[in-house]
Amino acid sequence: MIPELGNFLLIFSMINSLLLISIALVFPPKDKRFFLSASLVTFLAIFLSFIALEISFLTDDFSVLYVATNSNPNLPIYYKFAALWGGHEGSLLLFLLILAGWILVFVFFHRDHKHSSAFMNIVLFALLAFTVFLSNPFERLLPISSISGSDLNPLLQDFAFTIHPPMLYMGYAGLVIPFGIAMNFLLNQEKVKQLAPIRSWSVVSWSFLTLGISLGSWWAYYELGWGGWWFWDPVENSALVPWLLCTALIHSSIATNARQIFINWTIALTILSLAGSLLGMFLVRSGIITSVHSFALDPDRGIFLLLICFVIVILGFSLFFLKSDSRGLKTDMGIYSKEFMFFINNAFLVTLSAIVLLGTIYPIIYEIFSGGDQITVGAPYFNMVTVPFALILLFFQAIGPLTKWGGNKIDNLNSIGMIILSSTALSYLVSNIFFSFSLYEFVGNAIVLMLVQSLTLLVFKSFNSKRKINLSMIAGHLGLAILTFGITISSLNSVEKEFVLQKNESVSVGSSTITLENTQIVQEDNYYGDRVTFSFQEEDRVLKLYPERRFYPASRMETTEAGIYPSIYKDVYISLGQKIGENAWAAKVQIKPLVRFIWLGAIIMFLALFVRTNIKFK
Amino acid sequence: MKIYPLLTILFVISLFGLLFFQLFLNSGIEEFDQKKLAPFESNLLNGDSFTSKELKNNSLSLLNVWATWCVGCRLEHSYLMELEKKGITIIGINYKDDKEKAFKWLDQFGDPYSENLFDEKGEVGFLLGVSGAPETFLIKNGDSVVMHHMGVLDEQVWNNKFAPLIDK
Repeated sequence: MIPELGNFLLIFSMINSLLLISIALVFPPKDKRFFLSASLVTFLAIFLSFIALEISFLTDDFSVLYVATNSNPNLPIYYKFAALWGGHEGSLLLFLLILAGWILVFVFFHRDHKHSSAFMNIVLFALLAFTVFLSNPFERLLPISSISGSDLNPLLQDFAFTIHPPMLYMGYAGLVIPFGIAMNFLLNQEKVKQLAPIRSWSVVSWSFLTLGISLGSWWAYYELGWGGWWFWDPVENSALVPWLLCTALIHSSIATNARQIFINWTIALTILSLAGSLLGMFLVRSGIITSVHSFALDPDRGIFLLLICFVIVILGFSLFFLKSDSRGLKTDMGIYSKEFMFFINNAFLVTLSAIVLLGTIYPIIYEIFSGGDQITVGAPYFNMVTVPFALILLFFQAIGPLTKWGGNKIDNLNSIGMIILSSTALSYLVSNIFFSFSLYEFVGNAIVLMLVQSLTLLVFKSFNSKRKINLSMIAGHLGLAILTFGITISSLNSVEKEFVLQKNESVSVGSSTITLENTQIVQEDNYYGDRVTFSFQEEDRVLKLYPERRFYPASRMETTEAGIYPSIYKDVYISLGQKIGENAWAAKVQIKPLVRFIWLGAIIMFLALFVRTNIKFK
Repeated sequence: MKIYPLLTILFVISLFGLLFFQLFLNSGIEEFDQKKLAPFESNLLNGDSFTSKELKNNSLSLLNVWATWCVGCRLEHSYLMELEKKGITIIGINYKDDKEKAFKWLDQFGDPYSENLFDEKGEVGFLLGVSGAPETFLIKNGDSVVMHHMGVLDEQVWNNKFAPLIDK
């Protein structure tokens, strides 16, 4: 009964959303409260439908097909709750809930927008229809049978996993809001002021995308057992592309708000970033590209999702080319002005996202034109083509905040010169003394130092003057500096070694010694397996690590749990390979300096959402 | 100035065109290289024994790997019943399962299998290269595997992957 109710509410919200679109476009209502109440009703219906599915999960109602394929009575209750978004249908429902929530918040704060919410509802309606007709989570498995349910993929029975998709979806869904604002602006030829909310909404979306992506990266780091934190996997890329475009959108909309320039560019970016996130959704869910994240394949679903994406892009660009005007097109910018810095920022970010997208879909293009041959585009391509672009971008990130709007003379030349000189010199010294010198090490550290110095200078200046300071920007940029530092040091200075050890045997790695101390069998509710105890001795310190291999009987999957000793300076990371004999194991150890800085930086970037954009110290 | 809209639309259409094209390409018939069937012996659910030589009695037979813990098996069960009615011989391999539960399942949902192997430890599955359940093999003349399908067997899969091989 409850699943049928949930299904009914989902259909109801779909019709409600369609009504809102048609009424808004055909008979625009005079009363502004119309949109608020309609959005509230849609949100509540989806929320209750979400609750209905949760009830089915928590009560182990295996007559619901989606519950039967994604849950198991032995699953701890916390994972039963999170199992709802462990598969395709449920995660779509979560996405819809978040999207409807964002639309409601938007309508509440911006009641003067005539058609924005109608455009947002077009996306919502399309995805609701997709869920109801092609991915319905409430489908029954009848007659009711004695089966005990399958299992949540064991790799996903994990804390980071349970919050990773919701955070990512907050970001993806948030990109619908700028799109709606821009479309309303075009349709009604509004004043440029109407575009202002794009800035804060793109920051919201960006922060959650940052958190979602970094949670995914953290999860991959300790759960997949390979010791990497970024694999250039198609699914990671399809989150990175919207993130890059959203970063560009933030900067472009700042320029639009402050100087009424880049107006058309901001609008185009709202379309592109939404298209990027929908295309990412398509790539992940259609099974067109295989990856660790792939959902069950179904060509019908893929075609429908691609169609949604196509319609939104065509709608967006048609309106754009028919209705956009020449406001803000003519921009005088000297190369020392802030305008020019924003231009560089956008040009590089959009190029980077195009490079990543090309690498991601290139295997598809290649397969078509070569008549079925398959290739993969791997990390070497992505590292080679993205790192130089990223470094140049970061260089301008250090200089940009020190420039002024409309500046035509070299402002702050002394400070900029000092920053560049001192950073390069210091980095040269540090790279020579602490590390064996390499070009990337030197350039990476120099840029990080520049970033930190330029931000410090900005903060000091605002202490000494009445200038306002944007703390949100400081947090975002500082987070990126810390992240860059973590990437530079950990990827250039990691040590790794593979070995086979018997009980009580030792192997030395660098200046430290690893001993296999003990092996034991572990048995839990939903899995069993082997746990091996290693001791890691370094000078007079001894660390214990407990990597595991687990077997999950319900889904008959084997997983590796890495043994990690985390610390801010370095991580010691051991992952088990094959069991060789009675008490012998093959294993791999990795020592990764400063790898935690990557996620620390990402958290600081996320916090940019919660600090004030305008603050005066005096 | 008018060239930009045109270029954009052209780019969008060609990008999406490629993706659509690839989707249709993917849904076509998959090729499968014929393999020799590994000989095996096993007990049946009813306690008798069975060897793969007995498959030679039929020119065509399906080997269907199933278990009561497997949701996909529940999904394809009704289609297996249909196939059995059409006169296709289906040999079941009850994989890593419990005998009592298996009998209960067959009582409740019907029994499409002419024989049912009891592969408690997955030994037969190992010889056949089974990685999970449900999986279905199409065996010709009792000694060659002409199709190995992993996942649920339904009408669409049957028409795309199995039927063309049977008509030959």
